[in-house]
Amino acid sequence: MTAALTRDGVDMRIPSRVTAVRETADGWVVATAAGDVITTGRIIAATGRRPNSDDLGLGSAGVHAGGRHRRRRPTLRTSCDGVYAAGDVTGILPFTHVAAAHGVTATVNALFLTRQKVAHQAMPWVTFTDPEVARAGMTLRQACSRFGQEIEVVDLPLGRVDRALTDGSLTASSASSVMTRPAAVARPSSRQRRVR
Amino acid sequence: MDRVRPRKTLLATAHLAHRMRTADEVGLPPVDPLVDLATVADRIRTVQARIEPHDSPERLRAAGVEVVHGRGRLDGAGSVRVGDRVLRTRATLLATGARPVLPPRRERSAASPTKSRMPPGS
Repeated sequence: MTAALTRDGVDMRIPSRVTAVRETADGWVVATAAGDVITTGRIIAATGRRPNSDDLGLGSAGVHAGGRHRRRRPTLRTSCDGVYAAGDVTGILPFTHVAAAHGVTATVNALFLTRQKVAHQAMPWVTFTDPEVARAGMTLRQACSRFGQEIEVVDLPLGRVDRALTDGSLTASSASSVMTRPAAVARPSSRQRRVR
Repeated sequence: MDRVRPRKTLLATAHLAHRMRTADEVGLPPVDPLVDLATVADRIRTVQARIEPHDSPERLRAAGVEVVHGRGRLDGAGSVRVGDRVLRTRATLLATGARPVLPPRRERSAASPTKSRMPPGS
């Protein structure tokens, strides 16, 4: 990713936590923990987002906002009967495709009193860079904490995937990993590595 | 109701410009297009004007939806208050989106940040 962005003319400084921003006659002066001082005309802060749930009267209906339990509500029902939540306000995977899935599931559950669930675990994750970074399923850490250390990781360079090659959008380090439980793998090959 | 965001429209132009510059990746001579931002902005406005009727309150009303403008708040279980009106509901769906979080500011500045307005789930 760093190589691709550098090729596009981006000066990457990683890691570089911003410690101070000052406004001067020359523009904004940004200081980082690494000791860099950068003068710039514009700053774009991409430091996350927060659900718009402050002024919705949630307390009056007994709806608990946020917290760890929200992920255990794949039916999108809140802690108040008849109140559902969908999209970014849930704080779960803030993507357009997730909001669309939420909207359908919440509406059906609300109108027909069903308990359909959104499969958050299987929901694709995308970082909209070029090339895009995509993910589906568990991270390695999540897989380890769920299944223990005995997990098979299969690395597949995208340079060996025909559709990636024909698309012409490869970078040197493009790769994908597939993790499975050992039971699902018939015979470990040399390209598989065991996580310890 | 909010206006349609021009972001995706701008992205389409930016993606193609980038593909033109890096066309050698797929065996074409790369070209650096002369970008006229006024023309790009015109296109965004044209697309906006085409999309807006589809997302308009009028279209929803024509489909039998009652559209009430204002800030809605839950008013106990089973009702939503908008201004002086209290709407009784069998089901309420909260889809109010999220907003950008800015880093903490230590000192006052005359500059005020422009925040992206994000529709739910974008």
